[in-house]
Formats: sequence, C-alpha cells, structure tokens
Amino acid sequence: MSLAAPAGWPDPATLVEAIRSRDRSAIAEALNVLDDRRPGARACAAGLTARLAALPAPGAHVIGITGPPGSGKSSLAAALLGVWREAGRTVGVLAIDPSSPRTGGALLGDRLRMLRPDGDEAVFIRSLASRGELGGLSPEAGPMSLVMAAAFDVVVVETVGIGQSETDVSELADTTCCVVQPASGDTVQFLKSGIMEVPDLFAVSKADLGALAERTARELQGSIPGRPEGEWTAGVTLVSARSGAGVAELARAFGSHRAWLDAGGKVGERRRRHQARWVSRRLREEFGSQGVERLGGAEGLVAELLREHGPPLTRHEELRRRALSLYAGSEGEHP
Amino acid sequence: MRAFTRLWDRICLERYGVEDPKLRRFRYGVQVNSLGLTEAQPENNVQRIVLETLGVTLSRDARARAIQLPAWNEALGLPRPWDQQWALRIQQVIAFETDLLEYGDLFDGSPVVAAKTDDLMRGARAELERVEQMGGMVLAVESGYVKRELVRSHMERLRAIERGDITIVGLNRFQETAESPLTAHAEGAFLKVDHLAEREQIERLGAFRARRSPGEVAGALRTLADAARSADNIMPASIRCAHAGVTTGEWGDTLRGIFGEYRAPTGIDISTRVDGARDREQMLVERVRKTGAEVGRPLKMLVGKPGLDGHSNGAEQIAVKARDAGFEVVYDGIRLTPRQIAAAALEEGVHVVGLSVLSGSHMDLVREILEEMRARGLGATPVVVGGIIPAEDVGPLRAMGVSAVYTPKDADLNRILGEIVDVVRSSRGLSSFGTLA
Repeated sequence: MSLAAPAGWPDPATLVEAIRSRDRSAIAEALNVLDDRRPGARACAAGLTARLAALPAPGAHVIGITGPPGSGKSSLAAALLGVWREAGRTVGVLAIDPSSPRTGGALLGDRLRMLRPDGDEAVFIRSLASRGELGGLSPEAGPMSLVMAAAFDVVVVETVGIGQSETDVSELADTTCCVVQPASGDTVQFLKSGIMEVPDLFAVSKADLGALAERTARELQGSIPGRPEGEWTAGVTLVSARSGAGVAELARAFGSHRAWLDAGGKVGERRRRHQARWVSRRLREEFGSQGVERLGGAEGLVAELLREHGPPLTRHEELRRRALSLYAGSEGEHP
Repeated sequence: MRAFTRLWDRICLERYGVEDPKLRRFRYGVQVNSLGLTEAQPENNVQRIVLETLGVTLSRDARARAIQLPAWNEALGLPRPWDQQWALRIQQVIAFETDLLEYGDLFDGSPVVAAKTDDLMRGARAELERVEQMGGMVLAVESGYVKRELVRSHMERLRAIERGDITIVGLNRFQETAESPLTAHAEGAFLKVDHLAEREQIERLGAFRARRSPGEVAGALRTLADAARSADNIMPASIRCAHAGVTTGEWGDTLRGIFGEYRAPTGIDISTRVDGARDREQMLVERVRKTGAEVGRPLKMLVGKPGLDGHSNGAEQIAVKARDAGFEVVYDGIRLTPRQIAAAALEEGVHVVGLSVLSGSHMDLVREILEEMRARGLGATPVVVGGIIPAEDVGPLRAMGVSAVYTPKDADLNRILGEIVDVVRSSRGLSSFGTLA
C-alpha cells in the first residue's frame, strides 16, 4: 500500500516531522488537509493519519470537554489553559460549535474566551463546525486530535451538547469531562438515564453561585455509579472560571485520571479501541452497513483490528481498498 | 428622553426612596450618535444632526446638560477643526438665536407626546423586568443578552434599509445628486493624519519616561500590584502612580497581568428570521455552498477588528450575514493586535480575512496584518477591508494586496458577501460568479 501523496499535496512524512517540531504552518496545513473533501486531499489525509497513528504513543494527554450549551465549557477551558501554560505545558485546542442545518453556516466564537497574550506560540486553537452532526463531532475531529497530540502536551477537544456528543468525544479522548451548570436538574436527570458512566470527570461550573452549585454537585455525586476496587470512579469538582476557584484542582484531577490510565497501561489500549471504532464508523459512512457486513461486520471488524499489533488507523486505507474491490471487482481503484 | 427622565424619577423614588424631587432629576450629557450618518450626500447629515439635537433639547423637563454633536463628515473620515466648529455652532445657534431657553416645557399637555412617552416607558419597564429576571444587569451583560439585543436591533434596521422599509435619503432613495463642492476639493473633506505625528508622539513619550525616577515608578507599580492582588482600593495606589509619572499603558498592563483581560460577548450568536427564500439570498447561499464544495470544505472567514476603535457594528453585521450565507465564521471581538489576527488566520485555516477599521489608522494596521500574514506563509489568503476608508486610500490599500475595500455607502450586504465569495474564488483559481442579480 502506497502512502505517497498525490501531486500538489504535501508529503505526509515531511508534514509529520514538521508537526512534531511544532511548526505552526505545518499543523495548520495538516488540519486543512484532514478537513478537505477533494479526492487528492483524502489520499493525502489517509497517509497522514496512518503515519500519525503509527508514531510512538505520544505523551500528550487528550482531554474531551463537553456539556450543554451555556454550561461554561469554553470559559472553563480558557481557565484550564492558563493553569497548563503556567506549568509550562503546550496546549492544542479543537473547539467545536454547531452548524446551521439550513445553510451550513456557523459562528465559531470559542477562541474569543481563550485569547492568549500576543505571540504565545505554545497554544494553537482550531475551531470546527459540527457540519450536520447536530451537536456532535465532525468525523475529522479524531484524526485532527492526532495532529494536535503529535505537537502539544495537552489536547483539548471541546464540544457542545449532551447525550450523543459525550459518547462521541469520549471516543477520541483519554479523559472526558462533562461540565454541568448549577440548578440544571434536567441535565442531571438526563445524565442519570444512561450516560452517567461515560464521563471520567464531572465539573460543576459557576461555583461562585454558592449553595446552588453545591447542591448540583451533591446531586451528581450521589448519582455516580459505584465501581469495583481498582476501577476509576468519576469525581465531581466545583469550578468557577470567574474567580479561578477549583480550576487547578480540576487540572490535577485530569492528571490523576491520566496517571491511573498510565499505571494500568491503559492509554494505548484506549486509543487503539477508539481508532478501531473510528475506522469501523468511517467504513460504514462510506460503504453503508451492507458494505461493513461484507467486510466482516462492525463488531468483527473492531475485533480484527484490535487483535492485530499495529495501530488500527493504519489499516483504514487497506480496508477501504478491500471494500472497493468487493464492489468494483478491481483492486486498488480510487474513487 | 421624556420617558427616560420620568422613569428615572419613578425608580429613584420607588426603589431607592429618594424623597427630594430635585435629587431625582435625571441630569445627563449626551453625545448625539453618528450611527445614522451617511457617506452618500454627506451634507444631509447636518439636518440629521440638528433633528437629533432637538430631540434632547426641546423638552425642558428632559433637556441634556451637555451636548457633543458629531461632525457632518464622520462617515467619510476624521473631522477637521472646521468640521468640529460647525458642529459646535449648531448648538450655539439653537442656544443663542432662538428663545427656546426662555420657556417652560413645550410638550406639557400634548396628548400625542404623553401617549408616546407612556408607550416608551411601558416598553422600558418590560425590558427592565426581563433583565431583573436574569439576575440583574451584570449577569445580563455577561450572558451576552444585552449585546445580542443590540446586534439584533441593528441588523433589523440594516435589513429594513436594504428592503426599503426605512428610507434613508441619498442612500436608498433620492440617490441622484449634483457634484458636491464640499467633497470636491483636492485635499479631501476630512482630517489627514500626519504620519509624522505618531513618531513625534513616541519621541515625546520616550522623553517623558526618561525624565522619571525609575525607582519611584517601579515602587508605585509594585504598590498598585499589591493593592490589586489584595482586596484593597486601588485608587490611592493609582494616584501614587500618576505622581510618579506611570503611563496609562504601564498602569493597564500591571492590572491586566493580575486580572486578565475582559473579552466581552460579541452578541453575534443570534438566530435570524427566515423570511422565505428571497432570491438573492438563496443565490448567495448556493454560491457559498458550491464554492465550498469546489475548494474541498465549507468557506471559512475570519472577521478581524484590529486596533483600538470599539466601533464593532460593521464587523458584527458582516459576521452575522456571512454565517447566514453559509460561511463558517470566526470572530474574536474588538481590539486585537495584527499578530493576534494573523495567528488566528493561520490556526483557523480560513479562506478569507475581513478586517474592519473605523479609527483612521487603516493604512498602518492593514500593512502590519498583511506583513504578519506573509511571515506565516499566508500571502495567498485574500484580505478585504471595511470601515471609514477615504476614497484616496483605496488605491494604496489595493496596491498593498487588499482584494476589496468597503465603506459606509456599501449598504447592500448581499452584494458584499457575493463579492467576497468571488474574491475567494479568484484566490483559488476559480472563475468568478459575477454580480448577484
């Protein structure tokens, strides 16, 4: 399988080297290529993704922050950004906002709150529109987070919504945090109805509201299912982006979760599982459930990808070709 | 203003229990706004300014204590001393050539004025009630509600002008005009900023700083920082700073270092009414979609507001309109540096950058942004500029590399967005769509 870029597109190997040295133009270019639907770009993106997935497990901590609109996610992300920068860590952010279903237009306003002092080159923020995945993630968020992870110490993927999007963001993050604002009983009820297990951490925002915030935190804490010894149990942190209270504590909680993953050798496993599911999802988008069935079924595919040694993403292009050949009867034909 | 004055009186009495009616009198100064001034047939702005002035002077019970009027040419450029003098003379003519000041309130007893006043008060009370329910004004500002309502109301006004529901003489009606001797002059009809002025000012500042005692300055700034970190009043420390010759820049930087910088909500996250598929709008949306498909992803635009002027209406309206046309829009609010804007253009991978400058410093700011963009390898990303841009600066801006320039006379947002789509297309080697029919 050739991973060379077609003419006119950047060479993936060169691009990956530049990304790893935190070359900002290379990071921007890689993100643009991953976002680009043209056939040449898709081929380049496949090569790029495979190479990024094959990198020795980057030390980066990929963090997902999600929660309902208005819960204070981007203010919180901005406050965390301050804590990480003070500790000398570099940060990449993917901030996702909803698109209008009518026109496809979107206002991407999250970087406003994360504005850094002039010339802080250790932070890189890319805003993305959800593009039809209502409230969820665009499928490119996964590969894009790999670009960020190759360049920065901390990668934040921030996405609006509750429900599907929690599950989505947890499918690309090492650690997922759900932000809940005080007095949002509906949200807590909704979480209890089945996705309470998904987030690794909860943050109750606007802690400066006092008793209201504390009550919501208690309510959440009471609903977290108990876990067996040695398993991770999600905690609840009260935070105020306005006063800064609890922000350093939350940053430490992220660190603890990552340390727990590391101690059990779970990061690699988690990422492999995420990648396998991503590949299976992408194949389904492209070839439909029938196509996936012909490749061995979604579960069979994931199991096959996890059985093998290499990172599942590196197999995506090969599986695509296999699927194409099943349909076209001619190996290697490119759409 | 009668409604405002009456409301103020009631609230002072009812909410704060102020018994003395004299203490409940609303005493205000006013800077008559320049929002309604036009670039087209700018001489008509004089009538507009006079009418607005009458609005805050005719009623004795609601009369302004101090008035500052805009100059007739503020939609063209910065006013010259003579333009400002004209604005001042308007006030003086009203004050000294009429007998307005000799009478009591002219509107007392008018049922029409009373009904209008009641109506306005009812509306204002309903709004106050809404803000109260949000937890007060501070929370209403922080949540973005206040700014959103401002953006929405301005947007509705612009669209009504576009539709012709509101008449603006010279802009959307009676556009025909004889050549104006006021603007025909070779040297232009507004203030030229002397480019030496900036250097002279910097030299003066340098000389001032050199005269200070560095020890006193450092000590005063330390005291300021200590006060800001504790719960102390920062006023005494600020006064000490002033005596030591601390500049406002140093004072502000010290406080910013401790409190951070407030980024106000931009208010552009409003939902807009879908009033049927009007042809031009539909055509614009289609062009944006088609171009996005051709360049591989949806069109993405950065709306940048560099420099220190806070006139954000233009940037906000373009951002909302672009979103409605199907663009993915990044807008980071006002007062950004050229480096911040160029860095955002790179990080966000945008297809076009739109800059809005109304401070008169467009030449320097645009030059710096283009340089910063080129330094980041973004020389091929097109830049368009809008604002108070004198006609004679358009050529030099284009020569610098700017793809299009828009001024207040360009009131047709569909046309502007259509042209921006073509700017993106030509930067990508695609054929232009041409004028939006």
